[in-house]
Amino acid sequence: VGELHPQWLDWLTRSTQAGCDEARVDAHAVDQVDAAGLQLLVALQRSLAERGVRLHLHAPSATLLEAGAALGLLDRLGSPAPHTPEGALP
Amino acid sequence: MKPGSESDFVTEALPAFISEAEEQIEMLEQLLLQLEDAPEDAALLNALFRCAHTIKGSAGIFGLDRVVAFTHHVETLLSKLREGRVKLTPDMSTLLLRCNDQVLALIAQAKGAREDDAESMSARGELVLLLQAASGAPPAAAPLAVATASNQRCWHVSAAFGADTFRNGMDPLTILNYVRGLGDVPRMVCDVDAIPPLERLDPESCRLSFEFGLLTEAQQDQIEGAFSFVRDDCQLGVMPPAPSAAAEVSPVLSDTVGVAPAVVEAALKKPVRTQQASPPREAAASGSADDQRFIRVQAHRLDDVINLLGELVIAGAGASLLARQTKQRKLVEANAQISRLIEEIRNGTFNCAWCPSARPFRAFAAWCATPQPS
Repeated sequence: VGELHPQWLDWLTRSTQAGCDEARVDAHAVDQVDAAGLQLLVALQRSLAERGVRLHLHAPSATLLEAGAALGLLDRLGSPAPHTPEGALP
Repeated sequence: MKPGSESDFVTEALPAFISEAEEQIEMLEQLLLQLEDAPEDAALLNALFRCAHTIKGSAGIFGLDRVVAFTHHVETLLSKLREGRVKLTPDMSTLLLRCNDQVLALIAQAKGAREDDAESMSARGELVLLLQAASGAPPAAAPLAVATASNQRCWHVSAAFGADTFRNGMDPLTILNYVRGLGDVPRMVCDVDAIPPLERLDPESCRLSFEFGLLTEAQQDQIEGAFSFVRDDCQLGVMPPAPSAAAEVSPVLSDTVGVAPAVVEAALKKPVRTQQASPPREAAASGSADDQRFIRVQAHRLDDVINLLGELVIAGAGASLLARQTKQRKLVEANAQISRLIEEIRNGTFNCAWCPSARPFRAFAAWCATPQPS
């Protein structure tokens, strides 16, 4: 999470400047996640919400869904959408 | 024999244990790799279990309690895998490989006669929770039994993890998954408002706190025990159950979280799996210590003892002869007594079925691995 944080912040700045209103996070390749990672994801969601941007988890992996459910965070992270345009997170 | 020879013996035999254990760990690793291609191969799973069992057994003999305690958890999971009660997943493989590294580290500690360090302790703590979660999770496809409501009670638990939780190497996810294994969590609520937006977040500070209901047969100390590794900086509240589960959770969730009472009721009414709570760790540990009461002796040490006994017999006979020549009755009697005792030791010792193998270590390991009648 120490490395991801600045990357995500950078991405947040750039994508907000681009002016989209929905952010897609491609989460299909998440094969391991811990509580720190989920906390970071919630923080991202909050920052996006402050800018009026919705977070969409795209095709989240079973691991991520399970962990999200275990921490009671699934509602917060938005229901997974099959396809959403623009702003994919690397 | 000179005083202190017992500890000398351990010092001498320890390297043999260490090299044997390292071999076993290497084998374990090989087996795990092979199992990646054939995750249900019974022979491989069996061999996997035997490796861990052997390591635990030998460590017990040398009083390496930390190795025994930790390997016990590995063994529990492996035994469930062997019995087919749990399926081996790639995640589990990774976990077991990490555990292997831990066992190696513990053995290295024993080698250097070093004390345990906090880092290693917390790493082990996390792995133990993962192992328990892995072996405690009921098979997903199993039919859900309706709760034996008499024993299951609904607790309300609130846990605010301390800021240093991540830095201490602990993962709330692992802990909550373990708690889930104690019973059924009808509803988990995370206080997301405590998590700041990305700009203001220190990603390594834990800002997570949770409230949840827990339907379980477990007792308060078992529930609190799940948090024992983070206890110092975790605000934990375990509210004892009310007589009726629904009566307990509904107001809490409705009041604090705004969950509609109907939702809570529906969640509570869904079938609850019956599940044996994990036995207290102490009981498991003492049980494992009991079946480890064996002494393993290196072949050359046994040979030395036999040689010494032989010499003692000869020396004793010589002394008796000299005593008779002095014609002092008391000296003769004393020597006769000594000779009888030597004889007894010699007969007693040779009557033991001593294994002539050059590597009794291996033979013993194989013997350990065969199921013992309980």
